[in-house]
Amino acid sequence: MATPSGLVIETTALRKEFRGRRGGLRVAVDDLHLAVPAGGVHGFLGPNGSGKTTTIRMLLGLARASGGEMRLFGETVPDHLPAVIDRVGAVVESPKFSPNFTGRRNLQLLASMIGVPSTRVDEAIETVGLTGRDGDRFKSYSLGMKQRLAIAATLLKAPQLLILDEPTNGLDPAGIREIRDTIRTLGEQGVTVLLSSHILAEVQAVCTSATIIGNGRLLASGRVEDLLDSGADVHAVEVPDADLALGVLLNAELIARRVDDHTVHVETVEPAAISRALADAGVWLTALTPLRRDLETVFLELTAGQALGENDAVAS
Amino acid sequence: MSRFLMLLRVELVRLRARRAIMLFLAAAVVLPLVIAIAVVLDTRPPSASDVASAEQEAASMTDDPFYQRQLRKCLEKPERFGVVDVEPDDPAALQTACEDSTLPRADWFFYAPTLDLDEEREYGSGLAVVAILGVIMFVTGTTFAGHDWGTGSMSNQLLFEPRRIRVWTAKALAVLLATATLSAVIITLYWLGLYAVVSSRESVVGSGVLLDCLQFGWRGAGVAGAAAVGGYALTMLSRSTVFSLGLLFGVSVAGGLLLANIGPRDPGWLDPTINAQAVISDGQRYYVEPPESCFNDRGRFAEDDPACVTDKERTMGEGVTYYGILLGAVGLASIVSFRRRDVP
Repeated sequence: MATPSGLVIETTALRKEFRGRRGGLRVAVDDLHLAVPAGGVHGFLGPNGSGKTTTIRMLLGLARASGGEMRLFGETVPDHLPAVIDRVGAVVESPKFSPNFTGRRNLQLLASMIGVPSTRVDEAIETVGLTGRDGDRFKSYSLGMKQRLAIAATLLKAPQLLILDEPTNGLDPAGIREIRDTIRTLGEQGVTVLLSSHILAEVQAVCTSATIIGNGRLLASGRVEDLLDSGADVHAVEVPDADLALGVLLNAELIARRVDDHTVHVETVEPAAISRALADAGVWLTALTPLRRDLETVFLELTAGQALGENDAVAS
Repeated sequence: MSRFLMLLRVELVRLRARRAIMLFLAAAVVLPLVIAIAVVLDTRPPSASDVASAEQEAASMTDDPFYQRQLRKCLEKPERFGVVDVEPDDPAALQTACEDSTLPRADWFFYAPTLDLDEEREYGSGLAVVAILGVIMFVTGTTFAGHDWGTGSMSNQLLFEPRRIRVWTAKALAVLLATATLSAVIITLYWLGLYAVVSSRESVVGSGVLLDCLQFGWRGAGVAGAAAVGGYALTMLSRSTVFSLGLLFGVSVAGGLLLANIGPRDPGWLDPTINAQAVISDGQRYYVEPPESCFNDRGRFAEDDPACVTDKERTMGEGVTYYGILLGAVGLASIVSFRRRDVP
């Protein structure tokens, strides 16, 4: 299912501009190079308004790109989107169905559009756990049920690529867990999942790789493990006197901060520099522990200065 | 089954499954039925008691001095009362003719128009039924498209069929098929119903009258179907049912006022009503206000001057061209817009 490049999604210098009513130009996506490898769950992280949904909408042909190139399964989109759309399932923003139709009716209509047998509708309903409520009108569904119906719609095609935009928005903890389990299972079954989210724990818990964007631009991309290992390492230093040790470490031109009476955190890629500086000053450490950075730290470092919902990439 | 036919079938199901649309279509059945019932009741023959009562009334007024005076005048100068074809040497015939002409008759005392299909078609309920169907079908097309935009389900559909022109066409075809077919059925039943009533009353129906009525109705069904596609295309362009309905209302009210006040002397090529009637009635005669220059100093009208012709005709072809251009322009703008604009 993958292309010779091994990429399922690929964008090159992707750009999207919106023209305001007063003639101003807002750049939502700018020179974005996105590469999603085949298989596994790929996180698509960014603050609100960073261009995640716009990028997804361009990939799916719902919005026109102002510049750049996009490929799905190696096919240029949107020109060749019809050739690959049957391999792509997607939920973009909130689930959108006819409110007066039942969940099943909505799925049946979509299945009929692509000639999928009704047994697939039954399977999809069962997979997302909507059995028993599929005969209710869509407008009577809770947000969680609507999300599940949207995921069921994506499963009608038996997709090789699943694009999910904030799929756990508004769900209760049980619903979030169910959706995550479903995503994880699909990823394990060989489906490539692009999971757009601003919930860092979600991406860290589910994804094998991730792309972080901010202000419509690529900030970092790679395996989640690699992202966590990138940048300066932080070490926790246990000492009898934290103030004394802090002075010594700062004098040795290391980046350090006091955490409590007996603990100092030091940023360095060379842990030996810590023990050497302390030993030279006659301060003996009792423990030196590398601290693992979480995705939140990485995210905040990369998106520093970008308030939530803010998009300052404006060229008037 | 091809992908397009599958899409068309889904759109037909979607159309049929929407309650608002079913309500409109129910109105499209009920309103012509009500009109038909009203026409039938309005033209029903008077009952025997109605006739007896009217005859009694007429008889009681026959001795009135006014009517007797009129009768005498008629016998003296029959030509002044329109009695001209009576032999002067036949006093009995003259007496009968003058009595018919001047004395009260039973039919003066009840209103009993007869059901005439030609009249219904040209001046009566036929146009009303087509007009009602046209408006209902326009609203149906508008609502059908507006629902997709209002609920946001359009984007969901495009995730399954991204070829937008194909989606637009399938929806338009579904609207056209459903509305034109239903309109044709309703109008056919309408005229067949009236024909059955006329026949049951033993009235004479000229040969070809029913066919004329049916053809009139089928052209009307075509106009109703075109109105539905127009409403659909306009809403796909504006993405708002309210906008489309507002535009229809605005054009109906403001357009008429503008045409009357600042429009050309001959509004035929511009007036939507004249053009619609030209299509439905296979040509439409209309009155054109003559310019001042057509009257000389003594107020006499220059009848022979071609610039002073007041009776003009708009042909069906001209009407079809008018609506074809209008529908084509809206449809093209709608398709281009749907193909190029982002879908929320």
